[in-house]
Amino acid sequence: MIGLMIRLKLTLIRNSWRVSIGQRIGLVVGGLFGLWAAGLGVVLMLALRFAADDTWAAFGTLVAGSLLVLGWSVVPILVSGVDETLDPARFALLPLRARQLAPGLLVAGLIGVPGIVTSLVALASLVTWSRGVLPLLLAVPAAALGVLTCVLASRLLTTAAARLLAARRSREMGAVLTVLLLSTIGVWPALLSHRMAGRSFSADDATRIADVLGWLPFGLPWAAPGDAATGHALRGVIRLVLAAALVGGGTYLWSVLLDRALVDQADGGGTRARVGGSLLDRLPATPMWAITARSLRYWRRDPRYLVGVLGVLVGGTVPIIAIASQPSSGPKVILLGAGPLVGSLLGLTTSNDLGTDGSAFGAHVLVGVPGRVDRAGRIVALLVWGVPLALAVSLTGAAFSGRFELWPGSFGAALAGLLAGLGASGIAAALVPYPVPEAGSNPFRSTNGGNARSALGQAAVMSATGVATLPAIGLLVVSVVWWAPAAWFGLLVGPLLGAAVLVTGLVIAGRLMDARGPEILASIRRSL
Amino acid sequence: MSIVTTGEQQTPVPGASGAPPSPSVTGGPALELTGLWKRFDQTVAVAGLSLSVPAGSFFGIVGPNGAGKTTSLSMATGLLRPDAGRVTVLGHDLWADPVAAKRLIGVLPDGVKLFDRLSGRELVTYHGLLRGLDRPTVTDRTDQLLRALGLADAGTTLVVDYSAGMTKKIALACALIHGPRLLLLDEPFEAVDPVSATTIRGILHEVVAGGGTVVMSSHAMELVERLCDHVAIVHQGRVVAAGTLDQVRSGASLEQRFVEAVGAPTEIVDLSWLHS
Repeated sequence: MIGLMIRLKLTLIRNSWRVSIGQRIGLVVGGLFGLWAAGLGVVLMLALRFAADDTWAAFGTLVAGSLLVLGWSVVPILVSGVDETLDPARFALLPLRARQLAPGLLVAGLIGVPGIVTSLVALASLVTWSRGVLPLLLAVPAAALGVLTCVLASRLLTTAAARLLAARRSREMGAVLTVLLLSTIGVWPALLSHRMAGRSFSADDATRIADVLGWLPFGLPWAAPGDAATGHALRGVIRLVLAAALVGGGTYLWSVLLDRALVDQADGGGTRARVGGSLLDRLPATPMWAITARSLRYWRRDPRYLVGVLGVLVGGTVPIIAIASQPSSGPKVILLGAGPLVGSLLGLTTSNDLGTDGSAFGAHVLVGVPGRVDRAGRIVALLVWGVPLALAVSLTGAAFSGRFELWPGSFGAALAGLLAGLGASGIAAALVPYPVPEAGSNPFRSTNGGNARSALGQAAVMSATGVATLPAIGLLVVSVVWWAPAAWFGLLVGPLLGAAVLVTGLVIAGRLMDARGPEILASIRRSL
Repeated sequence: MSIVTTGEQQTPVPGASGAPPSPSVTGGPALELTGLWKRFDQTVAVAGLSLSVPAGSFFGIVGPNGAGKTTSLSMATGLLRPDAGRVTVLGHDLWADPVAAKRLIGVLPDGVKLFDRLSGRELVTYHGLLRGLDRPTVTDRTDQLLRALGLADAGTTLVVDYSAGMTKKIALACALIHGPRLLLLDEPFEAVDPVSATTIRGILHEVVAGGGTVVMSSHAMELVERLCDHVAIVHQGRVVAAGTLDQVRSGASLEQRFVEAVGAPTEIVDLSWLHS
């Protein structure tokens, strides 16, 4: 059974290579990322071999190992669909018991990028502990138990959470949380280092953290060799026994859950959203307003749009806050740029909105909605809340910049970016749309959704938006360094230029959509 | 009017050959497909398909998997641009004058998602408004359609949470909201329970009784035999038999004619171990 599972997994990987160029790129990117991660881990482990102090070697291996287990536990839950190849539910129709399936599923779980990375790092930890005979003796079972804990944690938690994950709402929330977490990942070290600033991290701190981490399920096996190295061999053995017991208990629990999953399919029923009064009834009864109402609904109900808005807010403010909060120089005035950045990014979010519609856009083609009407409806839906949001960010940025009187310049440039971005995005959406994953599916499949043509189109949209925003940005800069009233000219010039691009974009996009309806539909339905 | 054709060559075909044209339906064709071609990369999906659907008929299109039914219907509704050929809807050339043609047709497409983050009621309302209907008409018709299709209670539920059968029904409501003269339905009875199927049949018959035309594709021969007065068999991207139901089946059952037309599997495999 184990051999069969391994062959199945290998076949699945090989076939996914054959499916399409996109899948291949995905595999290669995943492989490169894995190579990078493995390299990082292995180099760390090798370096720890030569650490001056056993305490640091123990601390390093413990933290790295715990992170591995944590990653295996959390990632599959947050991002369902990362690895559905050997989903236990797919074996439900076969007359198999968990006892027969479990070993094969565990071993097959190790095949693939994460499994190889983990195994390499675990092997490298043996090199670390070649610092002494006793530590090495403990390191061998520790590495094996550590790897087992990783795979088991991921299987146990996904099986346990399967019912929860099958529900649309929780899957979608998981995707939103993940994107948020990853998009802010660059900021966390900076924030942490702020916290730690002025305090050095001592060996005592390391010991204190290791004491806690080493007794948690994540760290149990990884802490054992360090114990031996620092003269607590008995404690190390106790940890190993506990870790083995944990793996044994976990396997039992998992097989119980698996048996249940095999007979009782999680179907994700139960949670059904109900909605009351509708925007569609309140806005005027014309096709354009209907599209506006529908788009507004989607900005609120479709997790992909929510992710987009969150991404704009994070991406548009965090870098600027990061620069402004540098303790050294503190160029607070750069906060005036938050509004323009958020405005432009907001305009650009619609550059593939037809792709986000997916095949549902077919309804517009079937009805024969005029392209201009379609585009206008979508633009209005974004302006309704986009303008107030840009104003709020501009005002907030100005307030913290210390030059609040310059807010008109910031808002003017924000409007220029928003309007021009919307105009240019409309053309890109009609000319180079590309398919995106459906709501609630794995958001990382999108990385290879577009091709070179659509990437070029997106770049063109950004350049056009940038050029149209330039005069307003220039006036904002002038107002900062030279003549404050220029800010008010920015409030005049920015929206005017932006509106000009918007109207031009609307007309061109409308014609393109009229002429290319079926072609747009074909390229956004192209299988991922 | 009925025609018998295998694409452009007009060779005799099993089923309809020799039968006289049916006098039962008069007037020009509601839908006329002439020499449609569509190629995807190396595969030719539709190879010179021609078909004439008489106005006021209930027209069934049958064919094996991959015969080109969905591709043909997509080209007939404006979803997919044909490589060659013409589509005429009640006298309007669909690809030359899409606005006029699309106004007259209602479509239940296959493999096209709905805007499923709307509730059922919102979705039908949306389609009504897109079609340019006024508010009272949209509200009235949405209510009636939801009630007729047994979706009144599910009107406030998001379509993404609907079952497959409910999704089919709400899509049908969207196709009907503007009172089209020509209905093009791709597998309208797939995943629909028997009770709903009866409801849908009633609605479709009402469309035909009111002088409208219904074209549906289906795998289910008995269903087509029971519902449709005209039928076409599509195979390998062409029409291999078409005409009134009686012409096409000419004494046998539709299923027999169908198997004859597309060719039965040739290899006989011994499966006697299934008896154990």
